[in-house]
Amino acid sequence: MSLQMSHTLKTRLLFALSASLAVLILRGFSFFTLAVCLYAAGTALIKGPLPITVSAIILGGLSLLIAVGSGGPALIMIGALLAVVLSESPASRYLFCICAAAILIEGSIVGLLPIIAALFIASPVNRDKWRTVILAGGVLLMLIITGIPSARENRFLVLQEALYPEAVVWHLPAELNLGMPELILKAPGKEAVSLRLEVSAGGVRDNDPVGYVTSALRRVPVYPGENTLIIEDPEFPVSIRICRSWKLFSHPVIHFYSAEAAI
Amino acid sequence: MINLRRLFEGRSGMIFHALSSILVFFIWRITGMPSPGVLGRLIPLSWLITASVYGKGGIPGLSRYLIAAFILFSLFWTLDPGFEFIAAAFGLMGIFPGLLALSSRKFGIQLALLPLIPIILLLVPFTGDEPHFASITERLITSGTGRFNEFSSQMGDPGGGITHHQSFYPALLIPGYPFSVPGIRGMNLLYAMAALVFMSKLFRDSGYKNWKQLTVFGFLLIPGSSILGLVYPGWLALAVFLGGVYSYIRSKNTAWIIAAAMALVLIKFRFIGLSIGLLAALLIESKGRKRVFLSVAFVCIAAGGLLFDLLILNGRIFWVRYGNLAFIKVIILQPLYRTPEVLIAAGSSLIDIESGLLPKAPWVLAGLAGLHMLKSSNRKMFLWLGLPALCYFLILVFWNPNEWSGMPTPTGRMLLPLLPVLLASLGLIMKRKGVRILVWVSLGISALLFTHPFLRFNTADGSDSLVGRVFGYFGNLGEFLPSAVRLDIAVFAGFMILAGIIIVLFRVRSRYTQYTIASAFLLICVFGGLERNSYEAEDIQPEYRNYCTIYPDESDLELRKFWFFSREKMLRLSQKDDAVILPIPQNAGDSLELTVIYRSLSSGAESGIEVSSGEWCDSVYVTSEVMETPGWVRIMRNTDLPLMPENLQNIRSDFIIPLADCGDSIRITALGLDGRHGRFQGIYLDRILVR
Repeated sequence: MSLQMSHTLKTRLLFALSASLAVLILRGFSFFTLAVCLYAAGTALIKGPLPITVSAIILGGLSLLIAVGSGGPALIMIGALLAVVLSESPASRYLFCICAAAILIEGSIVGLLPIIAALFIASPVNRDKWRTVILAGGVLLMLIITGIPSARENRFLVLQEALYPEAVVWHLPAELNLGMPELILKAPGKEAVSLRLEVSAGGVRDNDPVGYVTSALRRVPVYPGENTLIIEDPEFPVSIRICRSWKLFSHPVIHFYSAEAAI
Repeated sequence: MINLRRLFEGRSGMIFHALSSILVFFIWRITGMPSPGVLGRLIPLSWLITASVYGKGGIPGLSRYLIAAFILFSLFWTLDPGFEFIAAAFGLMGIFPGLLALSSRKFGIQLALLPLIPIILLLVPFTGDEPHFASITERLITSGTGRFNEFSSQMGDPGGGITHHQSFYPALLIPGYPFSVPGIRGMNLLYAMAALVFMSKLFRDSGYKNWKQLTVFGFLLIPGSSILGLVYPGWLALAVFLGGVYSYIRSKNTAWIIAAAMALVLIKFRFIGLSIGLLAALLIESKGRKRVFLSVAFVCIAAGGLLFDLLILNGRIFWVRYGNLAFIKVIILQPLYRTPEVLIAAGSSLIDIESGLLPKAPWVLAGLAGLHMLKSSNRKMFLWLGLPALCYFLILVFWNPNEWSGMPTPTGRMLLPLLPVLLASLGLIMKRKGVRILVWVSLGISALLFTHPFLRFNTADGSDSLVGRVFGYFGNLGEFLPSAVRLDIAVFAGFMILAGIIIVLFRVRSRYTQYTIASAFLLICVFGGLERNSYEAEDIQPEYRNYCTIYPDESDLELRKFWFFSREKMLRLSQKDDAVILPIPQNAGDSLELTVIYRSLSSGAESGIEVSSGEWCDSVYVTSEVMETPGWVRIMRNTDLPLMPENLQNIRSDFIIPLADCGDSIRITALGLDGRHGRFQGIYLDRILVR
């Protein structure tokens, strides 16, 4: 039995080593690829039901697919958190801990410190129930101190414009929320006389603006409810941005329906 | 207090599901995830319904992991646009272990369907063929002035007041019509339930120990889940098919099979494959004189049916659509002139990213691997479920290799008749290593499509809505995914070989099966995540293009089905302001090689493309020639192809850009477009490669 186990472990380690080498060769060294290598090693050492290893492999693989932004590091963090709670092997838990620290240094996610501190405290603990409690405490602490983790870089959506003889039109709808807080409208090479926007906003528990439409130095607030906004002599690019940050029981959203710029 | 304890004794599973319902509800609100009013209520409702029907029983082990995954993805949802989808899917998937555990109780299969009903009835957009079936139902009972009146005709209708669809299935939806969309969808849920009951009885009588779980898999997994409760005839056909088989096996009365075979043709003509398979199975089962008698009887029934259609129904079932010379010619020419298309259609049913079963339902690999076991251990099931499924599949892909998938309707719906035989073989192979992983990955994808039903709809343009939404359109992943529309023979063949290898490994119980699957998955992830160096022009994101339009536009979903050559969409540059502006790759050397593949349509002034970057600029003037009419079309009708973008030859232009002179982006624009030479004049970009 033990021979069988060691064979499996060898195969797993070989597998992790190959994956790490492939990532390092193809993507070069960065704190993210370092985290991926540590994650692969941690996955190879996981002890516990098979679904844990499978989940870790799937999350690790998917993290490589999301090539840009904070999605890849976030998947590594999620995988590390799951594995630290569920893996019975201390060595694997320590590796996941260091891997999470590498994600912290990589820096594309803001607000991870409390949960990574909790990871370091939980890793040496052998009883999974206590690890769960410590990590739940870490999550709670994170929500109190920093809120939910957010991306460091500004994320925005550019909407496709269509050119007509007398207008530039944006007719595809879009939804802005805390995950995608900004929408950009551009009209390359065109000077518009006026811009008419149809938007609605909601998901908040007060009547303050949910976001702003910004054109050069002008800012027009978007209030909860239906809004028809007209901006004279707009300067492109025009930005529509949610101004709310994360708050309990709040789901700020702006629905963009259409816009038309007379040229 | 004692009473309370007694009340909850042995009901930890019920309490767990009820508490999880509250947890999901509040986590959704604490993390501020989108759609709190719809998904943020419907998913907790599903948990609550599961709790209410759960009765006695423990906590399903896997549910705890799934709830943990839901919480983590909810906490991180703002970090990637795909996470809110994944979080919601985990939120729903958490009830699946409970539904499987529940299935072993009395009426467990029916109870297991209950938690999904609100999500099916309220979330799935009423689109595709649903409104058309509903409008036919409406016309059968009203003067045609009701709520579905506007969907009175559809592309592909033979005309003269005869619709593309038959009336038997819409007539069976009449009891639900007074209750509007939920009513007619409810009728389909009843038919699905009937099919599931027959399926479970067949599995039970065939000696499957896990027959109840298998049946629940039937509606949780794609293709079963793709149109569960929607207004499509697939589940009704399955009910008739399985009902016929079950009744025949029990009573040995041939009439059941004949009745089922005839009803299937009345439901939808494409189910004739199932009918043929049923009758063929009956012939194989029969011996001696009975076989001869049945053969003669089948010919008489078919002739009688055709006469009945011609004389009484004015040819509405067969003659109007298929009883003409052109159709017969197509059927004859198909194997002679369109063999590659037919073969690709057969392969794409398995691996195509948009319409194939494997990308959305990898459990099918195990189902296919188990077929040999089914053949040897239960020949009767193999014959009665397998032969009709095989006949149906062959006729489906042979009949119309371009359109077999029925896109843009939900992925997998056309392959629903294959479900019983695949489940029957899955049941035999379930305990082998790696099978459960495939099943649970498939359940995860199914949960994603339950919570975000619009991800089921693809438009046969080569890009999958699920992959695009969850992983972003701008990754390199599209390069490595098999697509029948954007056909890359190497990738397509590679995936077919990989599928074959995994099936063989499952079959021989290899210990390397799991490693092979994991390696293939990781390889796709590693290469799919690399920096992009090729662009399908129509997928280029708005931030990298000025104006430009997609050809054909959104209103032309049906149009591309009738194109003879590539069915890909194109990016059209038709005005002087239209431009594509691509970033310079980070790892570029001294120079950059740019290849543009496009079509240039101009009937007057010379047109071409200009590529510029910083100080550097180069241009080429060229016009595409019209392709030759395909041989099989020429046999049907001697005609030249019109001067349209879809009929033009591709042009390939290569440019070497010295990086010393260039800026931070590459700009591609059209030349010589004066707007005076026809509405289709322009440059139609297909693909751009940057090396």
